Amino acid sequence: MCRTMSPWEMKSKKFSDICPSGTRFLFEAYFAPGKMEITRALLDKQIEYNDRLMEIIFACPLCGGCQEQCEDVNIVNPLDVMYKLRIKTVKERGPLAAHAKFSKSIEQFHNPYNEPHEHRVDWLPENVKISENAKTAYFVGCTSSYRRNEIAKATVNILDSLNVDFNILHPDEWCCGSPLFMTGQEEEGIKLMEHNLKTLKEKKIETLIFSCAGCYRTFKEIYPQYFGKLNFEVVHFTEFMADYLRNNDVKLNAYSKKVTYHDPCHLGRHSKVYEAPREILRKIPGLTLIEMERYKENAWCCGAGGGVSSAFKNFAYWTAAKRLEEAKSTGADVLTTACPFCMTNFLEASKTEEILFEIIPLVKIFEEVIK
Amino acid sequence: MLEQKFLENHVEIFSKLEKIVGKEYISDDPCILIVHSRDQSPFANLKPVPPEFVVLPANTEQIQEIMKVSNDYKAPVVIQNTGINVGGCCVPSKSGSILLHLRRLNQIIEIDEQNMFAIVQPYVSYADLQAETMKKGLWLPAPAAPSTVGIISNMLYCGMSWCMVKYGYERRAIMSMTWITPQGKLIKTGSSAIKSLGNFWWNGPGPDLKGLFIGSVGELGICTEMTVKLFPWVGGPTLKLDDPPENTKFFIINYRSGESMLKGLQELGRADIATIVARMPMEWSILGMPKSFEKSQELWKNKHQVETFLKYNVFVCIQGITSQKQLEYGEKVIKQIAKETRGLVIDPTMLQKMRPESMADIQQEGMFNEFFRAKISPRIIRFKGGFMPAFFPQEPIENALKSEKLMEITLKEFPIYPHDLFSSCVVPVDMGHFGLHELDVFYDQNSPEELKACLEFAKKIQSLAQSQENIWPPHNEWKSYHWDVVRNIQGFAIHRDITEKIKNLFDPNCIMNPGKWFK
Repeated sequence: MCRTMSPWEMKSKKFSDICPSGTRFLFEAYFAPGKMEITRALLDKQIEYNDRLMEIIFACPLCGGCQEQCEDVNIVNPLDVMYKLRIKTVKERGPLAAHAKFSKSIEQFHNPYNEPHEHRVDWLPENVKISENAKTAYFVGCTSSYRRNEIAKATVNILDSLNVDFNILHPDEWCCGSPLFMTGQEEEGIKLMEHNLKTLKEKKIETLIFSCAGCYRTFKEIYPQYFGKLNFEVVHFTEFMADYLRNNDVKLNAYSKKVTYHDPCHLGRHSKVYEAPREILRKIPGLTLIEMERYKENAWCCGAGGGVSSAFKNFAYWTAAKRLEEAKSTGADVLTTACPFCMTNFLEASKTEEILFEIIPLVKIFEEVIK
Repeated sequence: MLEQKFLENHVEIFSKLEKIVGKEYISDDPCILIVHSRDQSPFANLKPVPPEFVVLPANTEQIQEIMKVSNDYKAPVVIQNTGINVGGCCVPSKSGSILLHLRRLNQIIEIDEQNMFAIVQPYVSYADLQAETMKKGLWLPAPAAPSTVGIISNMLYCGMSWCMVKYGYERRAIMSMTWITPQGKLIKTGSSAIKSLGNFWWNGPGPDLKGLFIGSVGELGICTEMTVKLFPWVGGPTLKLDDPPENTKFFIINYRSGESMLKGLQELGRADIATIVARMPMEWSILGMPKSFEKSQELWKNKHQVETFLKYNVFVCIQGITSQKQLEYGEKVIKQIAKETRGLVIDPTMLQKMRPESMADIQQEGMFNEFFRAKISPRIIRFKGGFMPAFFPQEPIENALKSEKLMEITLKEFPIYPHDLFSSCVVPVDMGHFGLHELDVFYDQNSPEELKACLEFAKKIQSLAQSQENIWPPHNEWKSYHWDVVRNIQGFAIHRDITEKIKNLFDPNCIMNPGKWFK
């Protein structure tokens, strides 16, 4: 069941797979049932670590597609097993070289991209008003800070134009820890959490807004696993905007394009935020939202998560290319999403694909229509 | 550590197989092998045997070549496909095996709308095919197994469907096959045996070879292509999450006694009006239909409050295949039969008002679509993690209650069944000419005691099968145990001798999935 999307909702054979890892590498060991057996075999000391086993364990974006299908049965939690398997592997064998590399970068620069920490907010427009005493803060995240800063800019521009009183945490915003937790480097991740939570406490933040699905999910789901209930609200930008549009009369310009929306795994399957981004898109005059065959719980992953984009680049692009093909089949003019990490992977993969549509972050579309 | 190299010529065989399929599609790595050592069946769990190689062939020609290598080295070959089989038939029973995984043979080769058939490769599932054919107003009736099961595997394993009252056993939809024998020869069955004729019909010249392959549990070769008959579908191009398919109506008929229920099942079959007629076992309803595990546990805890209601429930579905009037007429007939057989047609909203409150959950999700593209059937393993069809008699419907009683008495001797709730599945086949009855046992895969109890139970079924005229385990669930069951039955000797000769003729080196049917 966990190899394909929900059979009831299957609309074609072509777009029915749900597991990037198994679909790409083909051997059963790469699908969730195989990984469950491998975990058991490792615990029973029937197999030993080798390069192939490391690939099976880590060449998986932890997208949760298998978990979503398995929830219909409700007796195993494959995703949880996979996280724990990665932690066990790192403790016993160490991380993959690519993962160790970004871990080192995070330790030194507080981001996985080897970028100087002092340049983290170089993108910040001078005209945007940052309020140091605000109870609301925008957690920018490493990818929006260094790789997709059009997302960071659009986010603060929108908040500014709506007169939202907000702060940013620099120089005390460090990586959220997602890359470390996803790759089994638990101890290093906990250190980041401690720092970020201390910062938020000192700044007396009550609401933390995210434009990155990965950071959002890490704060919403993983932080409480280690530190209990958080004493501030965790809100993704799409939730914030959907709520704002519900409660305020905001005039939006027309956007006369057909748009298809990609559910980021961290926002969708992991955090169950499916409606907020769609609600925003539906409210934009002239915009036609066209769903891909696999959407919401059944969405095909972009391929970048779980440490895949750093350690298995070709696999990450292969997965993204499959999604681009699906987006193309809708006839949409624009593919949009609400995660900078998905954006980066799509843009990289699109360099070698003939896609005939634009790839634009949802927050950028919104910035355009709210002007 | 996993012992993996049993074959003396391991390196040589690996090299030959690699040459056939390519480097990327073969492995002898222990972590690739270990996942194929067992499935959830008690047989495979008690003695897991990993294969020596896992190979992913791309086409018929590669499989022919692989079979030649396996014969040269007398290395057993085991086939795995979509991974839904739970009966231990697709895992090695001998060390030193070559496991062929058919994942790369995944194409729907053709859908012929005019002549209503489709040609599929092994890794095409019912869900895959339905997703494509329903758009064209055609379908292949869904299996009771999850619809992600491979069509070819399920047909050859004699899988059952919920629509058997109208369309018969699934395997009746087989039109032709491309078959590779254990020696690597290629056989075409049905009309495709003559190249110029094509795939349109199940009969070819001379004796029908198709019958040999069905139920032989992979011991007589590998089917790499099958033509299946398609039937009219009026339910709409896609299935909706919460609504029944278009032009389709569902009814639950509640009976107060087993006798009146059997009468109802017979009459519903004979009327030739319904697409689906099935008596659903109570534990399937309780364990399978609520969406959450918690809800099913709650219902299970309160099961005696709903026992009277659930015990003799018959699910009926009708479709307006030719017109809306057909649907209206069908509804009248169903209601008339219910009245004449003292059944009460239940309005599903009644469930909302029943106690415990979680009863409402058994109809909220899945009931409609489950019969057309099964998804939630694996939920029955919620009970303990493992399940095995325990009794599977096929016999006239009037014997169902007698069989059920015998099942109950027998099962109570074993600690692998929830004793205090008992009912079996009864599905009329072919307009009710006979019925298929099923009752499952549930066990914990990690409990050696429960696995052993399952084996003891299997032995008991064997002795019952030999002593009771009306308890006949079909050849699809008991793998090698079935040979033990049938071999000593009086009057079976000629059949036994012939089938043994056929096995020897097809597979003189005994390399094809050994130990699954023939011994």
